[in-house]
Amino acid sequence: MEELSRLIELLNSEDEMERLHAAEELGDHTSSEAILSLVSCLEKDESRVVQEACVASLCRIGTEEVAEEVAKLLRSSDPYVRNAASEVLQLLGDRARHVVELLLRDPDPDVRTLAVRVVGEGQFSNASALLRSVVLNDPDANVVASAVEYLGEIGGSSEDRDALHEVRARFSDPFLEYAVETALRKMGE
Amino acid sequence: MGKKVLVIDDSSTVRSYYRKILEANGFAVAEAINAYEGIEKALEEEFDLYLVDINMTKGTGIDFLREVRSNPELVAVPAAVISTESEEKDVELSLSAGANVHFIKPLKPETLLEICRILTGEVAADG
Repeated sequence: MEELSRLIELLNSEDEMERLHAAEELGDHTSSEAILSLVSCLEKDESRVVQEACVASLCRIGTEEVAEEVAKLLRSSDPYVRNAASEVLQLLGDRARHVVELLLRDPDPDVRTLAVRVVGEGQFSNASALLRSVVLNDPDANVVASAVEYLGEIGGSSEDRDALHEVRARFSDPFLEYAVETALRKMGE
Repeated sequence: MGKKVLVIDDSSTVRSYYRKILEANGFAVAEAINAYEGIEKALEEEFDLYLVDINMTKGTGIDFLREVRSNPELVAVPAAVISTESEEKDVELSLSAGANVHFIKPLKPETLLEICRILTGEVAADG
């Protein structure tokens, strides 16, 4: 416990190397305190090296609690932090599945777009089914366009193709039409 | 030879969509899949315009803009952010990092062309 407190305190050190080593060592701890400190450091630290160490440690801890806390960073105003959070969720894969399913239903379309990327580039079993659900149900053209692109890359079943055809009935946007054509071509249609 | 546009976006569909529209209208197009590749290409070759996405996995659009705006050889090249991020804070961040304009995806072909023609000086902003 003393060791954990010491590492958390060092995350606030003015010395970048001390913060880096603390971030690395906190990856050996699975407590809520360690996770919350790493997430806070990832969000606020001004050193990319320290932030990258936080990403690596959060992936190493790899629990559902990590997924829950990191998911909050998808709303950050800093694109680097948003992308780092997306990367952690991708690497957690099915361990973050429940959290990602909730994110895919988030009211904010920017968050849903990032969640689609997490599914498309992450290590999820049955990712196609998650993407199909977005393609068939999401009301936002950008979110659907992103899901269409990933479905074109990792899908290919008749259900996937049917879902892509459905997009044409729901939207009349030129980019989305192009994205559907491209995805179907990748599927050999 | 048409004006040269560098498209920086991690979506291959977006890149090919812009390429198709722009090349059909006389522009020359090069692509980069993230900010780092974008910076490399911007240093290797002269462009008349950068079209930049924000959320990319290896280096964000903001990283790209800050880098080119700190380089005396690239600082004058106009840059348009075209992103799904639509909140005021996102627009402010783009403009403060050096973008000339911030547009929200998805863009209609005629809007994309208008942006490119105005920012490359092919037509006046009011023309």
